[in-house]
Amino acid sequence: MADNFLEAYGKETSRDVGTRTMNYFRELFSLEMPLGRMMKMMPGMIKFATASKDTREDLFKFMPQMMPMMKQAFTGKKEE
Amino acid sequence: MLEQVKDWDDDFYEKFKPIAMGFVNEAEKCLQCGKCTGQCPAAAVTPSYNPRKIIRDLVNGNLKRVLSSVELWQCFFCSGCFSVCPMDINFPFFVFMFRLAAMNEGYGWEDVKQLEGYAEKDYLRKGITVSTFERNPEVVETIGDISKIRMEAGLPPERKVSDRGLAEINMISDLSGMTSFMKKIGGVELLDCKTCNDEQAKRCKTKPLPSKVGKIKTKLRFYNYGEPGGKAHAEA
Repeated sequence: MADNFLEAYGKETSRDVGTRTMNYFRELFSLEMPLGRMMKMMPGMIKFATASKDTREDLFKFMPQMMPMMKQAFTGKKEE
Repeated sequence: MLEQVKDWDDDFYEKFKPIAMGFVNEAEKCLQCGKCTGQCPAAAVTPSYNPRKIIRDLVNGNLKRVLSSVELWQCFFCSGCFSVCPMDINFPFFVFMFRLAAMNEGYGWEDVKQLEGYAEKDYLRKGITVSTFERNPEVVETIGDISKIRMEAGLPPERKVSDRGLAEINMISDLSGMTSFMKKIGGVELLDCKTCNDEQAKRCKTKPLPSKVGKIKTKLRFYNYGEPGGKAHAEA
């Protein structure tokens, strides 16, 4: 077991850790909508839509704004 | 083992600034005056915790040291450092972001696990996020549980959330990733004294124990900014 943080990271440099951290933050704050992320969001939206008539109507009001995002998720292409 | 040049990533902070959305973009102006550390209540109890040193390591890109440290987890967001900073550096926000980064590296999940006890387990069904169960014995003996206080005030023991409110909470929790995050925390199992072996018990005297994990790999953290302090140090 490592005795200090330098041993714990072994041969990895701070640059490697920095790159990994940057990639993590880029993905976390990304406004892109890959299919994987869209699929994670689907259960919540379905739950909301099936809760009542009122919530379903509310969700459908947002459909025009959501469509480009969903299209992008399924096709992988960003609309100009 | 000594630190080497390769242990610092000079470019990291410049690359990180735009991603941090302007919240931590003043750290390069840090004067290293130490006012943040001087007024910090966490540093008063644990002298090894030093916001000034952590800001210096952020600007220098000494990420291995920051992310694997126990000290990163000792801030409790009073924002005193931000209010006294002559250069207006938002250090608490930096702590918040780098705790996420540390968790991504596999550190600190055991600390987040501690908070699970205070969260309402079935918040998706009840819509209440903070548990009404009061665990401070002094408060329970003198005033009573939160539910008792509510009942005395003529309210139901638990706040009632409307169906629409519940649906919204469920959707927000799923969309923001909170549901999967809570599931992940549930996968972390903490080691306790009853189950640890001799080697772990020996380590326990000098360093915090690594956590036994379910699905998440939780790594051993280190006191990277000096020896752990305590009440004796604070009073000296």
